[in-house]
Amino acid sequence: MHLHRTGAFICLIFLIIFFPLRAFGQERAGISGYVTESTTGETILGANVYLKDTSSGSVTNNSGYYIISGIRPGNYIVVWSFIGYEEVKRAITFESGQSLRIDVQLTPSNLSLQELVVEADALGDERQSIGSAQVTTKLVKQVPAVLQADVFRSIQLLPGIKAASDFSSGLYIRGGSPDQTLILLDRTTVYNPTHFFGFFSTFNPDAIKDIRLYKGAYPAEYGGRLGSVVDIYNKDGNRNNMAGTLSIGLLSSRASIEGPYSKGSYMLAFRRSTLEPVLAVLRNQVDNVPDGFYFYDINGKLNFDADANNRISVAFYSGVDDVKFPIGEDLRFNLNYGNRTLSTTWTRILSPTVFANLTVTGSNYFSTPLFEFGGTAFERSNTVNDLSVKSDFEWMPNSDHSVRTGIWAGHLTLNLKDRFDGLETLNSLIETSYAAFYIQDRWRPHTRWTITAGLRGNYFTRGDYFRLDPRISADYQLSSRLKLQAAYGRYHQFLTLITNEAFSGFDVWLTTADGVEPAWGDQFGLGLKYTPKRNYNVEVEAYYRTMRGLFELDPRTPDAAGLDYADLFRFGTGYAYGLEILLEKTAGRLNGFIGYTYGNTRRKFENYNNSNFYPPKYDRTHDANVVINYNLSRKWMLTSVFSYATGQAYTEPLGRTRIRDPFGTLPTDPLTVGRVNASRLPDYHRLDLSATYYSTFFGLGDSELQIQIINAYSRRNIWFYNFELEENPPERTEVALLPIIPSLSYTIYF
Amino acid sequence: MILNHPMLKKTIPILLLVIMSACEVYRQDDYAEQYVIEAYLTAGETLPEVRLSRTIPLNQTFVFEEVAISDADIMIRLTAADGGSVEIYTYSESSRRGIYTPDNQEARVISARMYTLEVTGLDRPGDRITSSTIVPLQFDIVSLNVDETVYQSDVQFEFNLTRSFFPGRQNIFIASSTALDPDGFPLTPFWADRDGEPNEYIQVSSGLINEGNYTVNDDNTIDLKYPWIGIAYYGPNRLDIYAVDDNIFDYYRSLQTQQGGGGNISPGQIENVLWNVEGGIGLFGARAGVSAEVFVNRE
Repeated sequence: MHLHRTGAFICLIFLIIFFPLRAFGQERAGISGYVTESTTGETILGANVYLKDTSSGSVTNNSGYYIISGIRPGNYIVVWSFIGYEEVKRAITFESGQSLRIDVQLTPSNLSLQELVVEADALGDERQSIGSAQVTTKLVKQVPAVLQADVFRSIQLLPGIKAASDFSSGLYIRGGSPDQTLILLDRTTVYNPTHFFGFFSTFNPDAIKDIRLYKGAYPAEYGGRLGSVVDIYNKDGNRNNMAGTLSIGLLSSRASIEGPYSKGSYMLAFRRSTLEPVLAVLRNQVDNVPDGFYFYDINGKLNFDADANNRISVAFYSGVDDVKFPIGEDLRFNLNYGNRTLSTTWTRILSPTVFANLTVTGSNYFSTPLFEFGGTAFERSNTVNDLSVKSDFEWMPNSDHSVRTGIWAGHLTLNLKDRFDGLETLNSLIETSYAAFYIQDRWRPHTRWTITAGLRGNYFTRGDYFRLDPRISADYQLSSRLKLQAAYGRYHQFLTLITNEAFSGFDVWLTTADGVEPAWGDQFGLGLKYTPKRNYNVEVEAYYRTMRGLFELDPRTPDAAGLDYADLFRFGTGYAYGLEILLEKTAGRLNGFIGYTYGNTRRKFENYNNSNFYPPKYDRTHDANVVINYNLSRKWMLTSVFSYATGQAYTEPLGRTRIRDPFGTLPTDPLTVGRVNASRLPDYHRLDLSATYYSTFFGLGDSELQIQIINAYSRRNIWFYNFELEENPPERTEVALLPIIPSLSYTIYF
Repeated sequence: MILNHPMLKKTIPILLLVIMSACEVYRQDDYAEQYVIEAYLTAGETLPEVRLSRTIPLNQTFVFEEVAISDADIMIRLTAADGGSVEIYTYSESSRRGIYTPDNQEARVISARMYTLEVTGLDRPGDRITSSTIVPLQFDIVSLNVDETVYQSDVQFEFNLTRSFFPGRQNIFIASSTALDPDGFPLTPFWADRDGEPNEYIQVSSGLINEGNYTVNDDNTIDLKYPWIGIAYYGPNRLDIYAVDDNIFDYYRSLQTQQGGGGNISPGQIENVLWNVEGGIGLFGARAGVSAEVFVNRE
């Protein structure tokens, strides 16, 4: 068990924090309730609720519910607020022992036409915790994006998060690979959140209510990944009126509908590629165009408001990508892959100070590639099934403490079957159960201090591993405008992903086992949040993290048949450190943000690169993004995104030889290479532009016409160098990323 | 002004110092010329020729004669279980520069034995190249289901083989076919679709195949179905099935990773090749194999 001195020390602090919990005195009062948006009735996550001129306050949780307890009887002004909404104030007299239930609706502010893009509140909400950020769906829809407005592409603009290439929506967060990020949709793990083989993510912006991002040092309520968490919640559906959207794009289109019914609300969003006409045109002009390609996804949610204290929701997602690709007369490739999730959540207010929810989830990922060449077929059936139950409790015994605890247990089945030439060559069935518990206290010992300490226990039956993860963070409010933050956490990961940045359709997950221990690492962070004046934010964060016991598929394993499970892997370590700076203007005609990251990440595997550390391909020392929105008039909005990044690392071939092939006519041309990834591609930069025209659609509803230009000055950024070894001497060619791409979409809101 | 705050005045310089001090220097190597050896032992056959050359920078044209190394001292030692030499086979340079042939033309490679190649007398005094290998255990064909079939029909060539052996791991095979009348018969569709000249596909191979892909019968034989993709020409072919040593296994699996990518290798990521050679690079491989002549008819 990796509980070293640091961990023990953290545990001790954790116990000290819990020890002084005071009993909730009878004389104190409390207030609780839901905060919703007035126009849609959607719950607002992360809204502030506080008693004016006191230190008492709270923030709505992931269900939009708040609790403030331990209020001394008396008269107060209670304020409910959320950025982009009109503040609600009420004078309330609290009497001894009184528990008030007040549900509040917030109205969108007229002044905040251009609301902020990365939000945070002032009361210690977790989204303002060190390492965390929130991305609004408005940002997702505003920023120029190839093919589709995309959640992950928008997240990639934030400091500390890098994209592997224009073709990959994979999240490389603070030096971690995509499998080090836990991705949750309505509290359900999504194992391959991509469409179009990784080009963009599966999450439909029409369906999404809230996106929470923990880049590092994330709290104890999450676990199972070394690096970070993306926690996405779909809309509940409009509780006031029926509404919908219809969006037509060149390459894909979307439709959604939501509305109330007698016992709650519903939401249904559908998206499908409309590439077929483009492919049909291309097929007559270009070789190797797919015979067929489509993707679609459906998001749905049904809410049942049983009574004031009980709500039940059922959410589902289903997405598929399907391609048929004849590569030659005797060579074809078919792939069908996708995800399905289903979750049911029961939210219950147990008492004025205790909030609970219970979720039963199921997640299914499937991929069935088929290659057939020369009459020899390679078929794969790859499925991941994850059934789990999780329950969380929040308890606010008094105004100083907010305690969260919960469990998450499930059963994971990974089935990988290969058939080569009609014969089954691999039938790997990995079944494992897992369980985790956590307890976490957010303690405000002083008006300036907030300390969050938590402990998470993880158990994985495959390999019989139990691991403890202590986590702690501290916020110090130096002044009303300046906050200092520090955090530490330990993290374990029991899964690893075989993936390729160019193509996510073959992703295979593998687990720990006997002889394959879980990877683990420590994360340290220091942060500063400064608000020089209203609507301006400055955030600076430094991080250092270790990655130990990394296990990944040995790329030099050509054939898994007959091998012991542990022999499939290579084992290594890694670390990453960096500095992130975010300068943000959240409102006004001109708003946006500048994000800069200085970062380094390194890996080391035994007998690879002479067992020395090396940067992985996605390592970029400098990374900057400038996002600017300009509200030209009430009808026109302009958005630009400029990105710059250090060129990616690659290994440079230095020399060559020629060796006869004793099994073939043609000789082989092996290269001698230098240090792994010690060379750099040219720097990456790109400018994307977007103009949005707001209007109405024949009086039936609002409309948006969006014109976009991706890579406006057509910079030919290099994806990688290709060496034509058939030539003598070999020729180096540059494989470029996206050229200039114009795009057009039209969306109607009704 | 925020930066005037006393706490920040102390914190920011420390933070910057920590970050700057953590900057690392990790530079690419320069090209360095290396010796290259090349020889393949085949169980039951005579000792192979040994080719000796140098690497060249990537941007130069490879012509073996221009990089061949003459006047080296080469020998292959047959090694006993205790590491001592049982037999030493000396080599002499042939009429072709850089190509060395054994002085003993009768000696045959013995399966399940270790051989070591040693090269001295190189350009720089003290330079020495060595590489060792174990020859896989010779195995045999028990039966072949048919010696003639229709390409891509339900009836594939299926060998029943006795088992080879290699210490420390399962057997690993490479299947290859050699067209015996490439001028008289056309290429099969998959190979015809490729860009190269037809004579480049006279001999083609399957890549590495683990024995774990096949069922071991009760009589300790295995049934190996020959994949259609491993046949490039219609007409008469010789099908070879080889069990390979670690040097061939490492070379081909790492070469595949270097030039074919796959798995979790990102596009453009160029991996090094596993050489198993001290003092240079190259391949001193060993194999044991069986072969059969068959006839492939068109559909």
